[in-house]
Amino acid sequence: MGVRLLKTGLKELDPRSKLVLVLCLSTLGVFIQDIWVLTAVISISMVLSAASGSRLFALVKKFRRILWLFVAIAIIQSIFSPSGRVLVNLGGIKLITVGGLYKGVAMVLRMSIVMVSATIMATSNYREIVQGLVQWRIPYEIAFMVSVAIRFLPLLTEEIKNVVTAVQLRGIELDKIPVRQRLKVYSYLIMPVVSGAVIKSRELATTMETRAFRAYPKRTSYMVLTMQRADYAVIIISIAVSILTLMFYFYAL
Amino acid sequence: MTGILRPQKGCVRICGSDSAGMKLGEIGRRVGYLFQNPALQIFAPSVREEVSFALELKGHSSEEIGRRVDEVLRDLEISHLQDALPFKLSRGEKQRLAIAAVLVNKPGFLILDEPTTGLDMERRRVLSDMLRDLKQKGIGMAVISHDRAFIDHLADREVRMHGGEIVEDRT
Repeated sequence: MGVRLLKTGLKELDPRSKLVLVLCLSTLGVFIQDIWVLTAVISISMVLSAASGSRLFALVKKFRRILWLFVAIAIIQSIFSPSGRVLVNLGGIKLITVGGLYKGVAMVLRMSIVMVSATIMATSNYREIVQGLVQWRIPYEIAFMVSVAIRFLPLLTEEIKNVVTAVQLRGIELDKIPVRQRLKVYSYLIMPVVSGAVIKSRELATTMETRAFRAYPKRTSYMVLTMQRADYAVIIISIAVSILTLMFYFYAL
Repeated sequence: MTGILRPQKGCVRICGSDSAGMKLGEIGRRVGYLFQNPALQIFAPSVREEVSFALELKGHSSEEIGRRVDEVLRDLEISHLQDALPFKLSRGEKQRLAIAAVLVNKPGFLILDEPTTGLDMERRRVLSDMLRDLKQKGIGMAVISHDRAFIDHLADREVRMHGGEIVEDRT
């Protein structure tokens, strides 16, 4: 029952409250270095994300494919900032150290916090997000750009998927070709994505002009968001907990 | 049929093998597929590279690649566009480029989704003749089209669908 209430409650929140929540979690992720505190922050982010009804598990499933990238980041970070006990030594070069590995894991946790917390925003539709920003007195042009970015992101992903499918349907088995050739194939992903984005943005600009975008200095909106008590509570609790955590982390630890 | 979507029931057999266990690349080696929207299958920075791409990765000699690419570009009347950026081509030119990129691989079977979209009458005739040639060489094909005249000219078997149901199946 409690979980259900939390789920409905978080999903129904005003997008501005969700934005504050996401900003607080990301700020904690960026400033905190300790991996145990970061682990606590990622755990809280995951619980909140799952409770808000986001497609967290779909995201985790998707990122399983690029798990090697996370491992590579952790190792590279470890190589370039060695400290503490040496775990792997290659020809006198400290390849992996305890301190370096610690920093690498912290970096991966930090990236995960930003990504997981961002999924909370995905539970609001883009129109609500724009309206929230406008009601925060952010100029409509900027809010509209944010909405376009949100709307176009899945299209870009789709475009990449199409290219990979098209390449394979020409009889190329990506897992069987040498790495150098595979890299060449992946370089082909950039061209259609960039050109597709340019073409779409041109078409969008033309459409906006024909519909007299910015013809009047002020816009009215049929949709008006109203903050509820729960929204204020989430904003106050998020900011207070974040400030207290940072103060405790920097001054008490 | 091309393995992009897997069957929810039944199975699709390609050369006797169940396609469910085949990777897209494996299917692509046997079946040439033309997307309904050609823009979705174009990705190289030039028309020539778009056509030669798969042959290069498959390790063909540069002489053979040059010969096959020249031939297919000429047949589809896009030789003059070989250095052009594919994304700037018209819809009909993109369609011909996508067909060229499929045909250059000499697949054993073709699946063409609305191949005549964006083509004028003359080029429709040229494509129809090319496909008839391929048919005579023993290359099978499934053509999905709203262009009845094109299909009538080409097909041995016509299956008409409406609302997801087969309403006519004649040979």
